[in-house]
Amino acid sequence: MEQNTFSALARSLKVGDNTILTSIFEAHSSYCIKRLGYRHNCSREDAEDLYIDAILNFRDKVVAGKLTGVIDLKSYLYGTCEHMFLTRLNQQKRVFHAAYEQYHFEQEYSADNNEEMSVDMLTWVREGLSTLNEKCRDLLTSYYFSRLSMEEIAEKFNMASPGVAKVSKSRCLQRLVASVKNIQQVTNANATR
Amino acid sequence: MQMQPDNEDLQLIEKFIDGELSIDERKLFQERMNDEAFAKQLHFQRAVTDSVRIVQEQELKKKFKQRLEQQRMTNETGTGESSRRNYYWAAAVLVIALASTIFIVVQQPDSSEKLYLAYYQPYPVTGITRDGSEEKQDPAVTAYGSGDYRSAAFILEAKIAEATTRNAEELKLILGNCYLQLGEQNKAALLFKQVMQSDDPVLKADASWYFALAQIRMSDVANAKVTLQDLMATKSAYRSKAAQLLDDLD
Repeated sequence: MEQNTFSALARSLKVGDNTILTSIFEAHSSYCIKRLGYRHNCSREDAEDLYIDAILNFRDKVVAGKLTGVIDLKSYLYGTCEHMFLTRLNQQKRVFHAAYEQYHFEQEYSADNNEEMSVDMLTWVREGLSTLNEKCRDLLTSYYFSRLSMEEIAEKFNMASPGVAKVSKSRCLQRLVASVKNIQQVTNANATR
Repeated sequence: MQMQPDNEDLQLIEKFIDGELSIDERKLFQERMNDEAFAKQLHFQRAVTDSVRIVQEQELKKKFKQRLEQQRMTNETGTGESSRRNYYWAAAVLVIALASTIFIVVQQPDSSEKLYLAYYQPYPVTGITRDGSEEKQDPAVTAYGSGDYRSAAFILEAKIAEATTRNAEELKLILGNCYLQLGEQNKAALLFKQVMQSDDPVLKADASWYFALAQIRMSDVANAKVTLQDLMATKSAYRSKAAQLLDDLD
């Protein structure tokens, strides 16, 4: 993948435009999905899920600045798919040895562990986000999903300084946390009735 | 003693999640973690911020799943049609390649290239994506404007598939210009030819002008003359330029 294209991809993801990512997704889907099928006897559905996860992983690394270039994107994406497939296979095996596993506080809060997020929490947050105004929603998404820095947020939202952006983001987050807490309480109260 | 987290606690938690605790704040944070209510608040707030990301990821995941579904349906229903289409494209490319070869032999390629360079100006672009009255900063425009035609072409190819007819015509015109700049005049000519079928007279004239230039670049001078004569018969702004270029070709 050419450096210019890679830079264009990073720029577009930062402004929430998924056009290039989608064309990358479409360009390599067939190769990765079919290869997972014949090399690992993976079902089409599982292979599709793995491929989507690999693309999201790739996206996340690009927006986080952890990846600044890839020479052979097709091989990179397939490599990620294969790695994810083998990790999941190992996790399934480890279930039988769960008794030997220790509880780690850090693991509880680690970023990788949040795929286990409860469906309830996701529903409340989705609902909570809808109670916020558009600017707040966009600001939180820009920070937590597009991983924009405070400088970039200040520029995007025409704010006077990164400090102002930080205060705004903090206020929006507290509003969201309060809203989600409220939704959670109402849901729990309804459930106990 | 267990205390309800106050505003300072909430900010401390937010800083911890964002990885922005100072050394002093880190100590305070560790002390506060002995308070069950504080620890619970941390867990809750972390779950909320992680969920903001996961909710967006799920939306994207849904879109990708729909894409795969569409691809599957297209593959199942369009196999026959696509092979027929491929045949027409192959035939068109063959005709253009043959015409190019004949004229390369007949014409002086250097003079064609000189004329092309003398008359060619990149199609001016101010904004590709239009959402109502607002123009978004578009990576294709940025790439095109900075002369990064390979990236611009890459993005435009994807955009055209999703664009409305009017928008797609404009995008094809820009993509054709990218191809011209990249020396891929065959691909450019095919796109301009498509835009020449437009109902919009301005776009039609733009496309005809660039089509003539692509033909010149392919040393297809005889056909370029026909295109320019057609352009002269219109009321477009290109009339005088077309007449001048025709003179130079003669």
